[in-house]
Parts: sequence; C-alpha cells; structure tokens
Amino acid sequence: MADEYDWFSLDFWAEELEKKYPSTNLFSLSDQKLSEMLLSLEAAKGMSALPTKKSYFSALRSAWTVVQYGGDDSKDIPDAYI
Amino acid sequence: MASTKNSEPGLYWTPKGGNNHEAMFASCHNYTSVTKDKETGKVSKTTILIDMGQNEDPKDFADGVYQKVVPALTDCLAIPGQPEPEEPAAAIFLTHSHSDHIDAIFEYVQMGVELPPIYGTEYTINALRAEFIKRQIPVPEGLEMKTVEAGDTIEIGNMKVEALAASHSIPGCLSFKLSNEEVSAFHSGDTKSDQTSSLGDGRGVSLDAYRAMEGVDFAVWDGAMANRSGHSTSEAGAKEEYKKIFEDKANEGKQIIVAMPAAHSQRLASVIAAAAEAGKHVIINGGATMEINYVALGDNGYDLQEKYPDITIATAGSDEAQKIKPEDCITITTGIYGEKNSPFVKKLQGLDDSFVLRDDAVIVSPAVGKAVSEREKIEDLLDGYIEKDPDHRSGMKIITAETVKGIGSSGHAQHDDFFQDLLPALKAKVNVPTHVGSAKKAERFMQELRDAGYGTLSEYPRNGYTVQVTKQGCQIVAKEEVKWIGAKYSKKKDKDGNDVLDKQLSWSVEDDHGFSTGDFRQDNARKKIKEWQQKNSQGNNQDKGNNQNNVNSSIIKDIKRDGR
Repeated sequence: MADEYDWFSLDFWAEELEKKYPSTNLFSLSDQKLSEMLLSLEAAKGMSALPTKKSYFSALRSAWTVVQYGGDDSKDIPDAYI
Repeated sequence: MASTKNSEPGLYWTPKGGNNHEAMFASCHNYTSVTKDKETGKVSKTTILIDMGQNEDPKDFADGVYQKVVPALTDCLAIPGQPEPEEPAAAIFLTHSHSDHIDAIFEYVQMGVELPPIYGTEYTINALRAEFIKRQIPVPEGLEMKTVEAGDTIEIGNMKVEALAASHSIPGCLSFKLSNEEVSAFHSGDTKSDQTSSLGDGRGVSLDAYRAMEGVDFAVWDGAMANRSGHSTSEAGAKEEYKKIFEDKANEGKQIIVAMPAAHSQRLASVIAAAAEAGKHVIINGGATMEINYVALGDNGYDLQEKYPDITIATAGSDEAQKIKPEDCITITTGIYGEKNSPFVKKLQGLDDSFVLRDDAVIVSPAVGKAVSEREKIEDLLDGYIEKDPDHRSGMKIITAETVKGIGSSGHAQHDDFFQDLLPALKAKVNVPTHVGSAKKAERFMQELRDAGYGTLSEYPRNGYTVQVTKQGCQIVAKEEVKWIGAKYSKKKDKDGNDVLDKQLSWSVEDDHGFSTGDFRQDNARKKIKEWQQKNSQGNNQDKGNNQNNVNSSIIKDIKRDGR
C-alpha cells in the first residue's frame, strides 16, 4: 500500500490526520508534534524517513486547510485587488 | 523565423495580459533586448518574461467555459503542438507571488512546457514551491528556481536585470531595471512609495534607488495610481488608526473583528502590531488562504509571535484560542468582499456556526470602491444577520474606511504617492501604465501624466502591442492580437460537498475575443464566441487533452474603438 503514496501525498496525509485527530488545528502545533502525529498513523508504518524541512510541514498544513475549509482559492478575493 | 518588429537595437516591451479593456486579468510582460555588434553588425536578441499571471476572472472569458485562463506565450515558450517560438525566453523574473503574477506557471508546467529559469526573492520562490506542493504538481526536473534579492544584478544574454525593492501588500516584492548597451527600462511591479510596513526593516521601496536611476528611458508602472477613498498611503498610519479603534473606550469589553483580504499579509502584520500595542491577543480565523499566508510569514523570517511575545497569536480552534475571551482579543478574519470561503461570511449567511460572533461585535471592514459594489458587501450581509434577531444584535456596529479614513487596504500606489513620490524620484523619460483595471483608467492615467509634464505614449499600449525603446524615444511598433490559453479542470468535492477544482484536464489556445479592445461587448464578438462554442460542442479536441493549435497571430490593422 505504501507504494500508492509517499510523504508528499499531502492531501492523503491531511485527510488521514483529520480522521485520527478530528478538529485538531495543525497551525497550533509545533513541527515536532506534527511529526509525532504523522508517525502515529497506521498508514505511516513502513514509510521512509519523514521530511524534516519546515517548508514540508507548512505545505502539509496548507493541504490540511483545504481538507478543513475546502476548495481552491477561487472563492477568495482576487490577488489583483490587494 | 525572426521577428521584424524588433530588428533595430533597443529594448522592446510587449504586455501580454494586463492591458485589457476591462478587468485586471494577468500581469505578464515580454521584454526583448536587441543589440548590434559595432564591428560585425551581428544582431543579438535576448528575451525575458516578467511575471506570468493568471486571469483573475476566468468566467468573463469565452463565457466562462474555462476554469483557468492565462496568456498564450507562443512567441517565447515552446508549447506542445504550437509553432516553435520566434524568440525563446531566457528567463522569467517574478515581481512577487500573487496569483495574477505567477499562476500561469502552474498551467504551463501541467501542459508539459519546459520553462526557463525562474528568478524571484526567497519569499517569492518559497511561495512558488509551496504552491507546487499544495497543488500536488510535481516540480519538473530541470526547472530552476533561483533567488534574487534587491540590489542583485543578473546578466541574461545581452541584457542586465537589476532587482530593486518594492513595497506591496506582501513581503519579498521587487521592481526591475533592464538595460543593454543602448537603453534602459524600469518595470515597477506592484508597488507604492510607503516604507513604513510592520514587516519593513528596510526591505521596502527605496526612493534613493529610484533617484539613482534618473533618466531611465522607459518606465512601466504596474497597478499604480489606484484611487480608493479611505485608503492609507502609510501602513504605519493605518496601524495607528486600528490601534485607536482597539483602545476606544466605546469598544471596551466588546468583541472586535477585523476583516481584510486573506492574502494581505502586510495589513495582517499591521493589525497584529496594533493589537500588541493595545495589549490585545489575536485570533486568526479567516480561512485557508489567510492561515497559509500567516504561516508563510513565519517561515520567511517574519515570526510575529516572536516579535510580539506579550500577546498570544492563535489560530481559531487551537487550544490557545479556546483560552482567550472574545473581548480580550482581536479576531482577524476575511469576508470584506463577501468571499464565500470566509468563515465570517459563512457565519453571517447561517452556513457555519463555528465562527464566534457576539451580539455586541464591532466589525472593522475597510471595503470601499467599485470592486466592492460588484460583489456582495459585508455590510449587506451583516444587515441581514442583524435583521434576523434585531432584539439582540442591534448593538453590533461596522466601521469602514468611509467612516474611519486611513484603514483602507491597498498594496498599490495611490494617485498622491504616485505623483508626489514615485514619478518625480525616477524621472523616467517615458512612462506607461499597465494592469490598472481598465483602458479608460489607463488613458486617464496617461492624460494626467501629460498634464503634469511627464512623458508618455500617444496611445494606450494594449495587450500584444510592442513598444520600442531607443535613445531617440519610444513608440508603438506592432499591434498583434494576443491569444489566451484556457484550461479545463476536473472537480472534486470538499468537506462540505462543494465542487472545487482538482486537476488540469485539457487546454486550448484561444483568440482574444476582443477582450483587449473592448469588442467582446459588441454583437460581433458575441457571435464569434457562439461560433467557437458550436465548434467546441462538436468535439474539437476540448476534452481530449489536446490543444487546438489555432495560433495565427495577426496584425490588427484597425483597432476598433467602442466609443470611449
């Protein structure tokens, strides 16, 4: 099963985190805590080493917000107005 | 085949997407440097792109059949199924990371186009990388993303590209000075003259740097000279206005909600700074984009919690946020334009009850201007919310930029700071607007330049026009019809069951349909679109992952006017 995704399958991990830790705001967690949560997931067993870069966790939080709030950015204000 | 429009030495500028008849559309610019060896007479050409934006209102193009619309850069990028580009771009320089300046990159990458090296500040490149990850688009092997910071000079072929700091609504913004042995040009990117951002520390625009370029031959002012009532030209001034509201005795003990555009990181920083000075905690509850942008600030050296350790800055729903009483904090949210993704808007519409909104709330929403009237105003939504329970909610109040001047939001130069600061500091020989929202605005802009004694062109350079910059002056030397690439996307459901865009399915090169000239509002353009739709419905490659290969760039012999 691990062949179907890797650590950069962000939507997948965001959804898995939401299933196991519903309503936990990833933005309020440290990267370390988020690492622990990821590694605690059933799907993480047998995976290669988790990325450690800060940008990885930021991207994962971004994916999680999409799971939380839904959607692309098309319902936001166009950047051109800002 | 070499182009004949730029055979003489000089610099050549062609706007590709921002100079439409109406609407902001996509900021994207082709610059070609042409030099001639004095001994051999050999002509050398170097082309670069500055910015690759997307059309911000795709529903307005071709009756909205495409979910994404970006400029068709067939003359400088090798696009599958299209003729080889005449003058391939050697580099892409990004002024900043807003979608109307970078999002075409994601469309081209998904189309399989090999892009030249991309240059931007560390903040911009980080934002670009994060978007690739967020959209789950693999970064193509071999795509170079290089950082360039203010003060750096990059040599690309026969052209020098000098990066200068710009002040916009997010960090990491640049202007560029382009030069060759003949002439020079300045491309402002989105900027204003303000240097007082809470994110500042000297990284904003420098008028001294402008003065050092005095006499530059040509200047393209991107998004400059907005005219919004209630706008603050000083971010420090805006911060003070917010602080006054936060400290106002009349608002004591009440919940204060500040709404702003999700991507306006600079204003987010100002409001947090004002909250810190007023001794208020902050809860950020503006939806996905706002939270992402807040985190991006921290990732790029602007850790606001570290900067303001005496207050707690928490994201809604977090343990920290649960401990803070609404009256002890400033709630920062989105929704000033009635954005459907905003949790505040969802609350007002009765769609989501998780947003904490007390019946005594003071809402600070600096929405003003035409852009607001075209959308559902937050005031209207709030009125509707109050009317549902007037006995309890009539104590709510809203503060706008029309009632408290100076809290308006914009990352663009307004009329005053443009004419008083930017223009006189640079003293370019010829100045032209781009990406200002409409042809009418641009022409008014150019008339004001003439009235004030500044050089400009005799005609508004629409998308596809090419301006030649030489020591003898600047002139429009070609008027080509631009093309657009429309991309169709698959959709998926979000958590609430709403359709959201997923993956690019297909794309095709489309005619301008008169968008750049205004003809699309006339019957002939409508007819053209209908013909195209009929062709489309007959299965002409639309959903087969193929492009239509219909590039036949033609010179517009007679640009029709629509009575402006």
